[in-house]
Amino acid sequence: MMNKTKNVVNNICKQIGLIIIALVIATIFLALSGYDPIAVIRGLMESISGDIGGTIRWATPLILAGLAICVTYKAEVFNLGVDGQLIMGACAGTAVALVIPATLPAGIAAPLVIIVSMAAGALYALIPAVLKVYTGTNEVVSTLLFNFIATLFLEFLVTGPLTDKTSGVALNASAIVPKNTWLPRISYLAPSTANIGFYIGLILVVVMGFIFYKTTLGHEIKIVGANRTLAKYAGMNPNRSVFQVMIISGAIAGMIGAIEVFAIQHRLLAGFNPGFGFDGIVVSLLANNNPFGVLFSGLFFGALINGGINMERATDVPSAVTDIVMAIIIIIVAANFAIPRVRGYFRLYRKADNPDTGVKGGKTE
Amino acid sequence: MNLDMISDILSSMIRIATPIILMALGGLLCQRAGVFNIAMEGFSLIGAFFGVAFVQISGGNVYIGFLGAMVFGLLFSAIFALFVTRFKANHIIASIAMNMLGLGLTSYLLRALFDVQGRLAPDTINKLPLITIPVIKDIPILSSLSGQSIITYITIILVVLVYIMLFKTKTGLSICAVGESENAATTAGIKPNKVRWLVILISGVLCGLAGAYLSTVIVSQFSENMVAGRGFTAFTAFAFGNAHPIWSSLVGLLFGIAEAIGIRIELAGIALSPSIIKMFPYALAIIALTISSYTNKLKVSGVIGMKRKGR
Amino acid sequence: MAYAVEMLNITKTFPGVKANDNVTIRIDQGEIHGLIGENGAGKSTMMNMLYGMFEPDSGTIKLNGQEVRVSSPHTAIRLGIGMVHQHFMLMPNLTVLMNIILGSEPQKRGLIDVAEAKKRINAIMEEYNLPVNLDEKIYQLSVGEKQRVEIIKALYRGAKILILDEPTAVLTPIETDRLLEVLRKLKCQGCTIIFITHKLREVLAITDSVTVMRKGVVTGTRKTKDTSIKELSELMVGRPVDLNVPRKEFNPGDNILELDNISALNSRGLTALRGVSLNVRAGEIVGIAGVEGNGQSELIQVISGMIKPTGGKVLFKGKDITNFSVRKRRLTGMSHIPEDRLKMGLAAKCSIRDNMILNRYFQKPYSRHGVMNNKLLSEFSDKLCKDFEVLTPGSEYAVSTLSGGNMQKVVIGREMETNPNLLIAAQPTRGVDIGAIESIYRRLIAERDNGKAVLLVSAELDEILMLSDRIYVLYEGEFVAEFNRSEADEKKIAVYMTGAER
Repeated sequence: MMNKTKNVVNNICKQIGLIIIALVIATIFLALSGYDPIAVIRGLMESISGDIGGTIRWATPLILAGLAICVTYKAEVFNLGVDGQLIMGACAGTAVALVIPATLPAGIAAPLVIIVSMAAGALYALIPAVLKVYTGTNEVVSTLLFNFIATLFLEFLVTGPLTDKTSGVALNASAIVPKNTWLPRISYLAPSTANIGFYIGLILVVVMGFIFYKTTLGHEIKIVGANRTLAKYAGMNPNRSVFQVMIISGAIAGMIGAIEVFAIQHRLLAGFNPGFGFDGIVVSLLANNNPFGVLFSGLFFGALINGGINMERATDVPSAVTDIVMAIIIIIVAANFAIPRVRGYFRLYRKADNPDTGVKGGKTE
Repeated sequence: MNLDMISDILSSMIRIATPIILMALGGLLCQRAGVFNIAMEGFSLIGAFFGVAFVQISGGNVYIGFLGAMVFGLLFSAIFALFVTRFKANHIIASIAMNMLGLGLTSYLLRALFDVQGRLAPDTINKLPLITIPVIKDIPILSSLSGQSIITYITIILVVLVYIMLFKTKTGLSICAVGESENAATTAGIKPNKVRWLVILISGVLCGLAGAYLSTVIVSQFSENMVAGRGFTAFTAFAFGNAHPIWSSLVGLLFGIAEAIGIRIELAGIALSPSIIKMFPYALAIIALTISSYTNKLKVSGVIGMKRKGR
Repeated sequence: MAYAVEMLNITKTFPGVKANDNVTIRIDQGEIHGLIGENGAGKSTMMNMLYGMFEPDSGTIKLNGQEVRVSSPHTAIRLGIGMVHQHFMLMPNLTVLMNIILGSEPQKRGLIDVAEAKKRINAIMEEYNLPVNLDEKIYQLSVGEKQRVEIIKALYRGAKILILDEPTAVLTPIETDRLLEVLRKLKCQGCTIIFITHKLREVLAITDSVTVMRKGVVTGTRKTKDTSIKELSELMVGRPVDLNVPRKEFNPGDNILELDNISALNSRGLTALRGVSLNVRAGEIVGIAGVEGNGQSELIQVISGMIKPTGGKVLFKGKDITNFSVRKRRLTGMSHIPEDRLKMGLAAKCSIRDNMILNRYFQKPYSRHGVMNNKLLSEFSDKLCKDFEVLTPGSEYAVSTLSGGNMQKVVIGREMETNPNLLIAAQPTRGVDIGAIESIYRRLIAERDNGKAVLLVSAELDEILMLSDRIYVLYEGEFVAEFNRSEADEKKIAVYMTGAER
């Protein structure tokens, strides 16, 4: 047991260490391009600490996207289609919201649209899952393609059937959704757009953690991801696990769509998705695909993004700087993964060249 | 719908497909070497920016623009190569990082170097000439091949060159070897990392070229995020085209024609939504991918195309 | 005359392990030299260094009396050393031709000169009788053909010293004979051959001299004609080994497993089993003898439930379980030690505990309503590791850190813990050291003595003969013979295994 906690602490320190390295590099970069790095960093820190609401607002979709990614990753399924699934969720939710009567109490309307969005996301994720299981189609490529289709479908909806007919100008957006579907903001953090999506995210983090560390479902998903043949041999059903993780992932993605529409924009807008799905991959990676880590990783990136936006308003430093910083962090963290593997060999290895496992010893990599 | 209109659409198709095919060529070489390169979006954005930047600096010289775009495309892709080979970073993650970096860097440099925001149009630009091919230009349909930019003709030549290199030369075999079995390649004396550097740098140059084409030929300016997802379209092209230069180019043309038709429809004010038209290539890609995966599955399990019983 | 190869006082250490400790090997010109030892003895490491995969920490390598430094496979090839690895280094989707010429392509005007390459390769194929179709893709070839390609690869590059790492591990007896013929031919042409194996019979059949290694040191060098299997195995293990485990009197009970006219297809859609029937009773070990690839895998998969038969019935204690799922069969009292523990028996990157609990994680008291009791499961896993002598600091370590033998112990522990009525043991001692083999045999006999049914499938005829009460011989999907222990004759069974008789 002690060993395990030591390992976890070790890992966290490593990740933090890498972030610091990345920030140092970013600082150097800023200095070289003529901005006073200290002022920039201070500005960043201030906007993060002074605008927690903004941080929460941006962290919410990132945490959820990170969870959506990490659940499939555990089964060695690569769902790059979270963007598409969240868009479909948003579309479905909006469509339903625009037809339900305004007299329906909010206590029913709001959960209803969320459930519809989650279902739509889950169904949209089910398609590539079915293709994978029954035809062997690689989900990396298929989910990417489905993303394109979803984006185009969204464009079609907001310029066609769902377009806002009441506004005079041709907007690429739907009408405002009725008030009874609006998800409440966190009033404590007004006037930011932080909303209850964050609490939902917190709950989901705990639920995911529980599933993976304490349930048979989580164990099965882990084994299916580790060795599919083994799973079959042990009596599990790998195909069912693929469906399970994709449905969960798609549902969470659909939830992101619902939150963006019903808590933030209050309408369906073309291009409302700045790419949360792909950001989710990064969030999950930084968190080592651990649901609890995703919470912190999501908050971290949310803080960075928010800081960048605020900084742009306050100073003349473009928010593109945060994109650059994020990219540096991502690439440094991704590089990290070579190192603990090698160190791990040093500590635990028993044999040199293990011919029957094919695992090589120390030097050769 | 008359012949002129068809030629017109085909002409658009070629124009639109050119950058996609360029990016796809680089991407497929990477794929063959086992490098999952989905960073073409970022690479091209750098190319697009520096293309315009160098035009501006050189007072309108487009050739310098292209040179600058390719050089910086190369340098930028070198970062990707470094992290993917030396540090063994996960290819997908590193690609996402490069795309983000490309986006951020170009937006940032726009401000930092030129003190503008959103877009940069060079004060003067001597655009690349369009080449008219004498006989072809009068034949309907084929006339679409005439009147294109030099870059397009270079692209066609490049497709053939990549084909020859990949399947008929020692370098090409090395690339395929590294992608098929790193062990086999190493024991044959090939250095896998050297090969990976090569393909990544080539894709950097090609994407630089593609980006500059977008910003100096199609339009005459750089605007933030102007590659607008074409990098991913290129990825679809070579994934769908099985990392084969000819097939991938054909898929690129497919995307080109879908967009061309979509634009015409939009301009003509027809009720059919252009977004739906643009969906067709992707839907087609999914169907084709599914069919090919399924036939592969059946082949491997011997239901069709039985392998001969070996002895 | 100088030795063809000398590796003098070689030492190589990997983190935590001394793979080779002051090892000296001398190989005469034009001889076939056997290098034997158990897994982990260090023989592969030595040869990898000769081939330039890595360099020794200290010591010298001499070729024909001259000291050389083999810094890479490239260098080794230039020095005339070729290696056929145990795990083939081939590219499945490229043609045989491309695989052979990779790295040494003849060129004309910048392009690969295919005609020239074909000319050269055809010459080699003819001279050494190594026919392969150059235009076929590797994935279409049989194992024997793939090996031929590897040998041609080495010869194409002018290898005069050929290292073969466990070449017969994957071959049928016929293919093995062909290989030995090829080696004899090569020897006639002046090649020096180093033959790594753990199969002592082959060593005696083909080599001129043999070096035995154990735990990183050389325990003995002998001229083949002057030694025996007994002496060699003692040198390999360090003590006299007797695998003959005592057993109780044969007293079989009722039928536990019955197969009634089972037919099945393999993963490529071809017929693997043609109407086989067998039975295994309580308190007996039934052995399935036969060369791998004759339907053994499919037989086991039908019994375990991983594939559905195309015809016939599977009965367990008289009940028809043909339509039972894998899990249901396990719950009914079946366990299965798979033939490839890494492919099917373990998740290498997961912890030992994660692997140990695969049969129990979903049962009370280890889990209720889908929620697992991690504390109980850890205790369960630790206890099993102790009971089955798995050498590990703790069961939270990854399975990949274990040696082959210890991995097998994890699998056996897990499968025996459920106290099954039927235990299927497929290649149970593959890749396991002799010491551990003895303990595995003891456990299997103990199960039998305790009234359980054991179905043993093995490619090692010695093993089948040692353990079984009854033997079926499987050839091309059919049982061609059945023997009782008393009438089992090694030579007779070997003949049936080749399909020569029915």
